[in-house]
Amino acid sequence: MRKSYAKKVLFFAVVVALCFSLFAAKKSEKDTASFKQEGVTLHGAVLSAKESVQQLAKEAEKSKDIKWRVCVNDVYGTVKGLLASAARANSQLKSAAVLQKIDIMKSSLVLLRGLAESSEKAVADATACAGQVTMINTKTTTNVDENKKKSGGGKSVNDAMGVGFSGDLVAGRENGVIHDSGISDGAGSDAETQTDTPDNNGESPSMASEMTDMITSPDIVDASPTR
Amino acid sequence: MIVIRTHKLIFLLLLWLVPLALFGAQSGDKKNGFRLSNSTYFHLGLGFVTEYESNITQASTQSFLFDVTNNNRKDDFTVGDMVLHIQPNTRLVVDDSYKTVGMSVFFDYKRYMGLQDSSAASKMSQLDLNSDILGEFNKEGNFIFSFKNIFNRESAPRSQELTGYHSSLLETFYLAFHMRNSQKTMLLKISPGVEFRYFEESSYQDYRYVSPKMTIYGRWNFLPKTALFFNISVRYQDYYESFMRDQVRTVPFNMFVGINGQITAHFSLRLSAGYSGMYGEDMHHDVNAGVELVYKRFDKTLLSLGYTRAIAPAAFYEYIRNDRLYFKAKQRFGRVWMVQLDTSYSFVAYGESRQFDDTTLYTSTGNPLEWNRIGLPNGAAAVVEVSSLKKKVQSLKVKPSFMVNATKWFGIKLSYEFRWDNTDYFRKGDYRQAAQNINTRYETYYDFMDHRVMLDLILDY
Repeated sequence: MRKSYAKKVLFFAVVVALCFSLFAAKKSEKDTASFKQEGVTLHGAVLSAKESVQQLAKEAEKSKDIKWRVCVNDVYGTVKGLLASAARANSQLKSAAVLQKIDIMKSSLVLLRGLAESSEKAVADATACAGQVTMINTKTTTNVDENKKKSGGGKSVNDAMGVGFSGDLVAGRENGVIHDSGISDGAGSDAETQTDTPDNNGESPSMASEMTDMITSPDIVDASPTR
Repeated sequence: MIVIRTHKLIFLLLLWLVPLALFGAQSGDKKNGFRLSNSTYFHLGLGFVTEYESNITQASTQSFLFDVTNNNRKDDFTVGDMVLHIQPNTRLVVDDSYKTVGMSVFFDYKRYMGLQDSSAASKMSQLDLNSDILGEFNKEGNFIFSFKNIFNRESAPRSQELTGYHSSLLETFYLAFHMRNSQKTMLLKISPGVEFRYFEESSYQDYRYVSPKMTIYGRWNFLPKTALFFNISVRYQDYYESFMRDQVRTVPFNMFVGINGQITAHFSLRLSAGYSGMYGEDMHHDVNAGVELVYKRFDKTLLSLGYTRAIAPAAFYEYIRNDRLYFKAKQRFGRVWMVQLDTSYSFVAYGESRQFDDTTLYTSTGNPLEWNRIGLPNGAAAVVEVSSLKKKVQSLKVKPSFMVNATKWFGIKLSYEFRWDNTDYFRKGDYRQAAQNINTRYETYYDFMDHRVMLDLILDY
């Protein structure tokens, strides 16, 4: 009686163990496929980031803006490194999947996730280079550069309105005037009253000189009409 | 014989001009000046200007002075004369990416030759000068500090009778604090300053003024060469020695907003408008405006067509309003030649005259445009009559000129200037002094024509 009971328990245990092992094998198979899929996706993300930065680098090349080009090329170098690492990690993950080495697969995935995140940041950095070159580096300093696409380089309005047009002609200069650097870049709009654009670089607009020159003529007999 | 000489002259001129056109030097080719360090340059200059002016006092041909006692009438007050300017000058400039500091002194000795009136030579020959001191610091930063001091002495017989020659000193000093964002697309400038004008002749003391002022200016470049801007300016203009100081001192206020800069590849535009006010004993409110269309083709052609309307304070009137239409053209030929044309038409309207408000100097005769002048020395009496209390003047100016850089430090300019002022405003009256048996009548008109021809030889290294 006791023997038969023991056999039954043993049989039941074997059945349960078989069921568990079958279930575990199914789960492992499912995990391996999922890991492989995630690895491919993350590698694709890094590849896509590299292509985006590459496109920006081409645009920077065309613009002939050296600062922009240097900035984007710097990021492009970084993202190419990230892509190489991602390709290696993805390959390692695939090999581990064949050998069913879950631990190696997991560590490869962690690496790929980090690389994908870095590549995403690299795209943001490269995009920022085009306008306000705002890069937060590892030393957490912020470098902001002039947006020449909007500021035009600082003397653009003056240039458009013709200030300084004949400033290189010796006989066209205003006498004894030290010209400012054109920081206001207002082509005379920063003068006290409405006035025309200065003729040459910094020369007083005609209206301004007229307004200060209006001395009313006194009577002929009295040198001053009030005295 | 003369023809041959003329041909020779033309040949020699061409011999000089043709290579100049082909190989002439722009001063921008290489920096002029004596180099004291990498960023410090010292410049020396000397100008010789020969000028002929047909009406040096800008007098009207209608004016006359009649000595009733001696039955002697003088009609024509226009005097033409030749003026020789000698202009030594110097500049010292330190300019690098962080700062610009500079100072300059420019002298202009004007020698009237006395062609028609020999007394003009001694009466009007004067030494004028202009001096600038400029400083700009932290030019590439977000906070920029700058200052400028301008000192100017100018002597002119313009708009005066022959004995009314005036010399004025003008001292202007201002600070400027610029704040701009790191992208340099936005700028705010706060600029306090003071202006001081002093007429050396005591008969012009009513025109002397001191004027603290403040300007706040801001712009936003929303496109590379185009900006929106605003400007708010206020000053306190005090004619501190005027006999009617309380009536004429005023606080001019100007405020305007606009857009300024490039609109197409070759066209640029400024459009602005705002409010102007004169806050004094009387209030005056007005509109100011500015429109300018600029055509610029590379660095060869520049055309500007514009209109401005501005208000300014005046010593004897509530205000001066100037509506001005102008056209300017510059055309460069080759590397070193340029022809230029400046034309403008101004309609100047003065506010109501304040001159006769003081009852200690003027009493009414019953005629609203006529006054008895009282308080004159030696028992003299005078009557003054004006055509209107509000003076209006139309002024036309045309100035073509032609200039060339003979070398990068030697330039020549030939120019002509025509000015025509038209107004029906006049003053007339009589002056009697029984003790010395003086009895004179006068009529003064303010319309005139003036022609000037100038040849400038400018050395600037």
